[in-house]
Amino acid sequence: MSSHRFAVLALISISLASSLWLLLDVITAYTYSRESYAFGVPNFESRFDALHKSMPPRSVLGYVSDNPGNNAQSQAEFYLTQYALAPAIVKATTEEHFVVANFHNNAPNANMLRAKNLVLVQDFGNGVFIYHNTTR
Amino acid sequence: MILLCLALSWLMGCGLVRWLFPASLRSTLHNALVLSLGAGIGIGIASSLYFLTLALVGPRILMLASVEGVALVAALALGILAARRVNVLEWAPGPPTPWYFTAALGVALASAVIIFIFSTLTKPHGEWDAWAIWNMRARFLFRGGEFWRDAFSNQLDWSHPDYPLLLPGIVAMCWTFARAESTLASTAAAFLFTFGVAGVLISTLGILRGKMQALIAGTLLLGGVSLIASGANQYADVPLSYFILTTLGLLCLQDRYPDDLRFSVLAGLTAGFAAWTKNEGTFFLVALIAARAWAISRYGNRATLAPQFLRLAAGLVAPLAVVVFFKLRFAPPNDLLARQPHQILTHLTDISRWITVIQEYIVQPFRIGEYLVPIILVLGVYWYLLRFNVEQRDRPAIATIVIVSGLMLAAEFAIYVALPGDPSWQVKSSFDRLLLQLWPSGLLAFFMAANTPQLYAKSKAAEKGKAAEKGKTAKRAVKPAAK
Repeated sequence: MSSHRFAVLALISISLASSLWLLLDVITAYTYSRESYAFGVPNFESRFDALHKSMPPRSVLGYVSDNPGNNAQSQAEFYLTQYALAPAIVKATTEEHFVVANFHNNAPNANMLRAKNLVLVQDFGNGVFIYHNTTR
Repeated sequence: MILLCLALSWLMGCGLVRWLFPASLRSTLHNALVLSLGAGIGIGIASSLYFLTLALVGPRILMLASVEGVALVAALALGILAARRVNVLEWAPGPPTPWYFTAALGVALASAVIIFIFSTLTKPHGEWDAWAIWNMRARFLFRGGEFWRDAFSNQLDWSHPDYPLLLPGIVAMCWTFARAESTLASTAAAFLFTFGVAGVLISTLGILRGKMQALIAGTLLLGGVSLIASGANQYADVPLSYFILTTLGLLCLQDRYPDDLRFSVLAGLTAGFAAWTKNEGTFFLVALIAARAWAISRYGNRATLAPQFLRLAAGLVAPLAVVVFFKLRFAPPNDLLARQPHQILTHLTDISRWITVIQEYIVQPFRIGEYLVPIILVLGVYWYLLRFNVEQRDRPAIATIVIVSGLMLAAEFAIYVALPGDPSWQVKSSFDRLLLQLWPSGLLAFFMAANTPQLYAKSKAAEKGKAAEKGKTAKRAVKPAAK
């Protein structure tokens, strides 16, 4: 085989092999996502849907979560909450009149809520609550 | 309805491009380029008009429909009524291309489309940056009604509210006309840009270097993991890479057709849309002007500098005005540029930051495109076996691409070193996407410079033939002397 043919063949083979490798990868990922509970945007969309529909067009909400502070997961969930509730503005603080809660169970930590002066306004299910900050 | 909106935007772009480059409506390379350019240009125009209407008269759907409708009708009328001119862009002459090159491109294209579809089904809202920045901004514009300006609130500084609005604009426009939200809008726009990149690369190289170079480059581009994955993830880096490639490709064509300055007008328009896509697009614009001026002065005809720059400015002025209007009137200060000079100075004098960034600048190019094998090495071998042969007329264009890429990499280097945050994390999380922005243009430059395999083989064979002939003649000359 001449050198130029080898060069072209190598380039095209590597391109096609990379493409087909990724194809297998994404099909596997798709199958996995269909079969398992996947953390991500659609999950947040459905959890926050009821709250989103009940809100006025312009609102500013505080945010509270049962995630440990300052890790990637809690940051991602805060951003996802903002994405799901847009055009409401969600602030990473409980110092707002209304505070949206993103909990991972339906039995939130009462002591933590009391310490933050939060009183339940409405439970939207799936760990989504609206609280009122009594000091604001 | 969403797909119809995008199709009409595409049609608007095609109308405008066809007005500049008319040709008969047949299945030709010329029309493939028109279609590829029309996708991004149409989206750019529709998105700019959406933003201007929103900014000047508010969220009035009738007014928006009128503005977009008038633009569409005008572009179509121009496209249909355009007089046919001299330059019809065709495949560059070359030896016949074996069928398996077309087949390889077909396989790469089919695989890329399937990958895009499955990735989209897995992540319909795209990856992190897509939903946290672009699609969220679109939601603010669409859902916010009279309060659409909340999209640029300082409270959302983590989502970079100063970023320009090409993508959020087109998505929100589709939702507005459809009166409903759907991930179809962002997905379809991402699809157009992802495969538009391939269309522009293949058709530009086909015109400049012939079918074989175009097919090899197209297969290589579509076989790369990062372009298709990032496209399906709805990252804005793919639309930006589209506009960078389009601008540089049009300037390559400009150098081939120096009397036809419409290429520069269109290049100005697409460069402006690059700035309307991402902040890096503004870098690109500055780098482009500097690189082009230098490349023409060094390698080209200096007399063409002023006319080309005038046409470039003519194309650039409208999208740039939209960007400036957005930045001055709506966008909050950029979070990176709003730092104190002493903070920047402290970072600049921190040698460890330099070392970290240099290390990543050495390592990351080996991951470019995310092929199974570092493609930079494979291209090195390809170059070694086939060599470059740059024609004089292509030198300004190739120099423009190389200098633009160098300047953009240098500017990003300075940002990584000087601005806050952990440079290692910043480079690791974003440098691959910066390389993706430049990758299609890099391929354009590489395959413009590289020898065409068949022609190279023929010239090698001819050289061997000549050498053999010389040898025979020498032997004949030596024999009588020996007698």
